[in-house]
Amino acid sequence: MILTQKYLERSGASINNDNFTLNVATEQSRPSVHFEATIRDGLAYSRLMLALYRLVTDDQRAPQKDRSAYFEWVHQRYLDELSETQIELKKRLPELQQRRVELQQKIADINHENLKFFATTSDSFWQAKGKYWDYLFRYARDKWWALDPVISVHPDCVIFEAFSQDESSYGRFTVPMAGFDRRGHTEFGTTNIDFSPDLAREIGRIRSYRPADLEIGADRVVHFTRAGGAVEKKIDLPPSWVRGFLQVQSAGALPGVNVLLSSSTLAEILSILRRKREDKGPRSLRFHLTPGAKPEIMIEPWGIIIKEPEITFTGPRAQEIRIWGRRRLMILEKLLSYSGQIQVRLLGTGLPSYWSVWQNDLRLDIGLSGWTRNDWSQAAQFDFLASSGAVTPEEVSKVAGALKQTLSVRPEDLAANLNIGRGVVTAALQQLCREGQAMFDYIEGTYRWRQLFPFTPDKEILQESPQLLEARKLINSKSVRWLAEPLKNPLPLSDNDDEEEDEFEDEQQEEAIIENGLTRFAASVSGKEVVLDLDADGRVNYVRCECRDFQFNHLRKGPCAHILAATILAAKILNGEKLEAGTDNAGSY
Amino acid sequence: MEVRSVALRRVVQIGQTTPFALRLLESGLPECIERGKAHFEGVAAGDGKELEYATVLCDSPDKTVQAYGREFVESRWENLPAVELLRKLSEHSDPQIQELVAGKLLTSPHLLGGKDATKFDKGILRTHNQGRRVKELVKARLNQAPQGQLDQSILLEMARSWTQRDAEWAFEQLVRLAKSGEIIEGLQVEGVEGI
Repeated sequence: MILTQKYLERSGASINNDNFTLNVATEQSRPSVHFEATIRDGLAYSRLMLALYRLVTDDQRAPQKDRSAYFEWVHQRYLDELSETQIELKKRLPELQQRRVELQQKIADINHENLKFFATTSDSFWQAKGKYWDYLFRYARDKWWALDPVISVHPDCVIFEAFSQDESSYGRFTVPMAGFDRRGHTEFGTTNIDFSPDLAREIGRIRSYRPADLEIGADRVVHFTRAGGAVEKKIDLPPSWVRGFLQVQSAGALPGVNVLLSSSTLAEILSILRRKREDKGPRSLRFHLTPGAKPEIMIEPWGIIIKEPEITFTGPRAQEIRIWGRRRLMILEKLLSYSGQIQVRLLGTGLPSYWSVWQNDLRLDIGLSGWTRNDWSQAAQFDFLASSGAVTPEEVSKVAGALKQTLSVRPEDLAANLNIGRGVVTAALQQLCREGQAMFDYIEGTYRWRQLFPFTPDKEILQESPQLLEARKLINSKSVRWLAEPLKNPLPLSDNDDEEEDEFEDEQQEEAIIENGLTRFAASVSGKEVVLDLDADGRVNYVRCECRDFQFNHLRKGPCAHILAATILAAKILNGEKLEAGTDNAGSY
Repeated sequence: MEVRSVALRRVVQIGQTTPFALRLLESGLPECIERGKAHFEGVAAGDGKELEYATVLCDSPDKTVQAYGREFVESRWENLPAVELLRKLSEHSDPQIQELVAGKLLTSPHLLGGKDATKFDKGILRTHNQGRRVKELVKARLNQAPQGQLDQSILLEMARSWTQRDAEWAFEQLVRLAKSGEIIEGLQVEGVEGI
């Protein structure tokens, strides 16, 4: 999908004797957004913004080498070794080449006749330009892509979000409103910012003694030394970004293990990774987590164990979790000397992980997909686990209207205000996220109005995954059979549990479980047994399937068709439809 | 180039602001650099603007301008308000500017106040894989400094580090503290000194 973005001017910055002004050029075709403020903690802002810039330019895919010089050399050696016959044939080459030149000249003359009314610059310029872009595309794609982070001005904070080049890392920089001294009026909204390398350079100048102003909006007087003018950027906006945002936010809502680490622990891990190069696998970080003990992290393949020196793991059970794509954490490297603790949220082995770093009140979160090649936008399939209910267009429209008005809301509050079921509200909000109209703030647990596009996006973006299409087929062919009545407030299961019915360990745990609001479903889908726990929002809290795909991948590549089929029908039951246990489910979706 | 010459001649006539002169320096073009330098070098010794010029030059993201900034600081060191300048430059993340600060503090530790010095030292000592020289300068100053200038937590963090050189130094400091009677969690000094 080609989206044309217009910027009134390039982003830039100006310095005068007293302060430093960042002028962020905004995308012009969107509803207006305006924000003008002085950043209170300029130094922290600068460090975190530069970390976001490192993320935006990060690409862990193996780069394609420029081998053109080598091929030229090979060609010369080949010519040197030509046989007698070939030499004879080669003698005819100049004549043929001459003929080709004449024909090309004729074509060029004809083209010239056609183009002379339009051409403003010589052909060679355009050819050279084409070659240049082609070269960049092949060998330095980071310079070819125009990556424009999304900036959202909300009543409580300003959020910058972006994906890395390989779309496997998501970055979110949150500045609370308390971090700004606001001036003038503020219009809440979302826009793309032109995050140019020049702007990143200028951000590097910010210091605590040189106040920095952030101005977002076009209708203002701009003081900077660069030549202005309308700059129109045409970028091939990856539809994957909308999917990427949806997946990263949906995965963030799934249950996971929270681990607090000292920044020195991560710094030590990164230091070892910087000094050593892996010549074999596995290339994972293996977290050994035991309740009441300090976490230990093994760096593979060397078996080096880094022990967390200060913070004890407080999770409910001992577990071992492995994550891959660890070099992506280098984005945080420069922040660690100035940070105290790192909050890590692990969803499971091979599943995404979230890392949060603070600099005073400013926060940078990065979400890493299960491994580098398993990018957020293509391979991840977490949105359906975050909400599974079905909604009508009227319900989506009603929820959208309410969200647009309040800008930020919790599903339970919105359900109470609109008098609609909580599952339906969550499903409608997820639908809005899928369309790029809203975002789920997994940190606050709220949905925010955040329009990625000023229009309803193409179906290309909303395309369903093959697994979901397969799931719909299973439902339509009545292949889902419920094995038992739904069980309310079951004892939570984990991947390590063999038995479904564990004993409560203590009264406190029992009370907590009674309030958990989970409902357990057991179904046979096309002969494969599926067990899933849904919460009040219709969000999958635990799932397992007997199929080979799940046994091999778990959720690393998203849920299988069996899980999706069972989830869709289970959500309908949660929303009030009748379940006929032990019979084929005749419901369609 | 001709247009540039005309423009630069015009700059001489009407004068230039600091941001403009900085842009000239960062342009990388020899004649523009000369014109930019003229602005910064034109400031009289002892003028209040010297401090602003020094920080603006050192804070430039351009390495060559930073290098010029360091030269500027060295050549005008006697006139510059050293305390204020080092406090500002101590926020810098570039190892060469940090080295300049650490070098000055090694000879004159009193130039950076307690809180700012601790912040600077912590930032340097906690950094991995860069700025070895600046780290050694900071360590050298702390070796001479009275005990307790650095947090125990930082020393413990360094002692656990996989960088042998830093770990040994941190152990030495911790032993010094323990011998002076401070209680350090997880560290007990036993035996006879020197054996």
